Amino acid sequence: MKQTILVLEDDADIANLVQHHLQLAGFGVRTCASGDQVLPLAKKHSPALFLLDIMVPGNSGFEVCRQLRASREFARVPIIFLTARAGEEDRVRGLDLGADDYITKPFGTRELAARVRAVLRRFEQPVTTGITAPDFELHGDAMTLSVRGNPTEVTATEFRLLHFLASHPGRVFTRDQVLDAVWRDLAFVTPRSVDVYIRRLREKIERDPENPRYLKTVRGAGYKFEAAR
Amino acid sequence: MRNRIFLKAMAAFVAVIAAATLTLDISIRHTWENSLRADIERLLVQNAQGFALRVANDHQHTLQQMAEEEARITETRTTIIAHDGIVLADTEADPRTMENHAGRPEVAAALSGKVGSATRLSHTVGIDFLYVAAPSGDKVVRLAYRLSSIQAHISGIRQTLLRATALALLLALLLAIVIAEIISRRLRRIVEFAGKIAAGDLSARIAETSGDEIAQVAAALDRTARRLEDNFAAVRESRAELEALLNSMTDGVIAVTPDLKVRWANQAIRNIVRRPLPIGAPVIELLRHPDFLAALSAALKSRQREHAIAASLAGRRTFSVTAEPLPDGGVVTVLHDISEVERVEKTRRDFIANVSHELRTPLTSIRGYAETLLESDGAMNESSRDFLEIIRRNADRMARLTEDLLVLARVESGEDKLDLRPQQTSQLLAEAASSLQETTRAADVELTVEAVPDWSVMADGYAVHQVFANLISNAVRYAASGKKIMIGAHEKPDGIEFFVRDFGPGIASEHLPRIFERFYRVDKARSRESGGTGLGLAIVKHIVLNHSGSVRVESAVGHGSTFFFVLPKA
Repeated sequence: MKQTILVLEDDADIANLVQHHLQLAGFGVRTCASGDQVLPLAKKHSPALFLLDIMVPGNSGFEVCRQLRASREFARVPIIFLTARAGEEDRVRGLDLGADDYITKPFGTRELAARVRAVLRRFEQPVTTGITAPDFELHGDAMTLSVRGNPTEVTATEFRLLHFLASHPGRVFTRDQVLDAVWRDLAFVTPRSVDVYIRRLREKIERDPENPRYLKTVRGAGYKFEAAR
Repeated sequence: MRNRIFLKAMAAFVAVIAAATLTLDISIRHTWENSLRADIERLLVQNAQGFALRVANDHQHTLQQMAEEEARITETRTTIIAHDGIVLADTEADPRTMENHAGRPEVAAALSGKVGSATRLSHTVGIDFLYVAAPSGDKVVRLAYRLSSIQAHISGIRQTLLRATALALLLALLLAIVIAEIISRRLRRIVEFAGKIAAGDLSARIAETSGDEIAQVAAALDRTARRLEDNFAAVRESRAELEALLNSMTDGVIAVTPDLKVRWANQAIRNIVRRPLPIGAPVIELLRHPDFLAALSAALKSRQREHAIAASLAGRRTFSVTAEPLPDGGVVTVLHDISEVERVEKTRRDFIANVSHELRTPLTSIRGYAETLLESDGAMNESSRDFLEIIRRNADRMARLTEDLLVLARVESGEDKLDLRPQQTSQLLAEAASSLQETTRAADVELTVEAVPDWSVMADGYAVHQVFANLISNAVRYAASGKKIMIGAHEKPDGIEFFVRDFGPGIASEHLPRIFERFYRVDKARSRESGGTGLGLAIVKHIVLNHSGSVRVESAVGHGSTFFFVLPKA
């Protein structure tokens, strides 16, 4: 069955361009030009991925992202921002809201398709092994996280990042190594994006995010997962 | 004051009068008594001799009669004594009861033919007498003068003297009071005058006309007051000028004491704070702004000019704050309103950002559709394909330009808060080398990292990475012919200096001063062809400046170029 991708883009030329290339790549595409149309359209088509422009009429892409993450049905559907806002703070804000990638305009058409595929692959490929630590548990097949017994929302990317680090307790990874391992071959996110994800994960699993027990920063090097004693 | 001068004058007068009285008294008692006695003795001798002559020749009167007469005339006790010492006549005692007088020294001297004299207590009458005896034929005459009358005379004089002394003392007292009063009145005037001057009334004058020392002091004080008044007038005038000048400024000027109290502020400050400005109040009550206060404290501490930008001070305005230490330990601060400049600057930056964003949307279409056509299988001749490729390439370049413009606008504004933390030099170099390895390898250039000791610098790792990325891609772009790029670092007094060295064609010296300017191009044709945006070095410069570092370049045509940037040590 064809996977549907929901595109929020108010510029018709670009919407057509995106539609054309995603269809070439084998996806079904639904486009809309206003932020207000995303949720109703999503309920109708159950998209596999959202591609959101930020500055659009109606709700902004950021607002749509927040709504999707807050909803029951689409909380775990991957989101990619596709925007002209190339600033670092926009990038960080997008990732902070739980987006899985951030593509800036102008983009290469091949790159677009490749990154959509990469995010979907990341999402689809289940991590088979579960990991249990005193404060949290990663359930491999369902790709869910529970912290101190409470089910906690995680995006696919967050899950994979935590799983990757927790699978290698005590080993130090540079940001580049983390990018390579979690985001695979497509390291389009900047090393600073890794920091954003780590911060979000700390807020979810650590009792004191300022003074982490599991996800430790190694100064001048990168990150490591400290095994529980 | 008055009492003391009076007492001193009084004591001096009394001492002088007492000394004079004492001296006079002593001289009266001794010298004068002696000379009086000598005079009387001489008179007695003459009288005695005269009487002796009469006694020897007068046979008409009895001896007693003659003695009585003589005693009356000379106011003496007169005695006539026979040569055997028997008293023949005496004016104050009965001769028959009187003892023999031959043994008396003056009588003995007269019996031997001379005039004799002696002072003695009379046995007969019991008072002090001055005796003078002279021979008179076979008899001796003796006149005795009562010394008590000399004493009475002298004591009369002494009494007069004492009365005079008492009078003199009384006069001295009055004089002392008057003199003390006059002097102290003059001194009081001088004190009052000095008090006025001390209280700041420099127009006060004393007119002292007499020429004595007090008048001289008064004149000297007068002159001082006049000079002070002149000087103060000059100071006031220049102060007023300065104040008028400072008040006419649109910049706020505020002077504070070393303990951060307001000493002075101009009108502009009043307009900024819009409330009464109490002199002497703590400055923190006036302008509670952390950046402003930090600049003040820094200048107080370092004794050097300090500079700061204080945003949202007094409403929404932004001020450039310059704090300059004063010689006496305080600080004078100038607040220059740069809100308008900031606003214009922000408008410009927003405009650049908006243009950059707005350009991206059409660029996406241009690039995307060109790519789409290039990838389509539709029939297309070779030149159409070339043209599409040109469109795509230029769209790419324009995209980079919009990107760089945005980055430059942000680093220029300092809006991007740097995440400064200690970073290892070797780590920064290694990260730069590893992430740019691909770029250099693609251009067939070897990138080597010079081994360096592990210094620690205060830097934002990501920003430093951007600096290296710009410098290394520049080196690849313009100096790939050198086949080698070298990066490293060395220690400098003001920090750690990193460098990126290429072995390419080098840059002519006339370009070096301007090379960090935006859009400055050394070789216009070549730059365009190579796809540079002309903004890379400007971005590098601003990132480094935001780190409080500095940039420079060394180059010579034919000998490659080296770009340096200094980062502060951690």
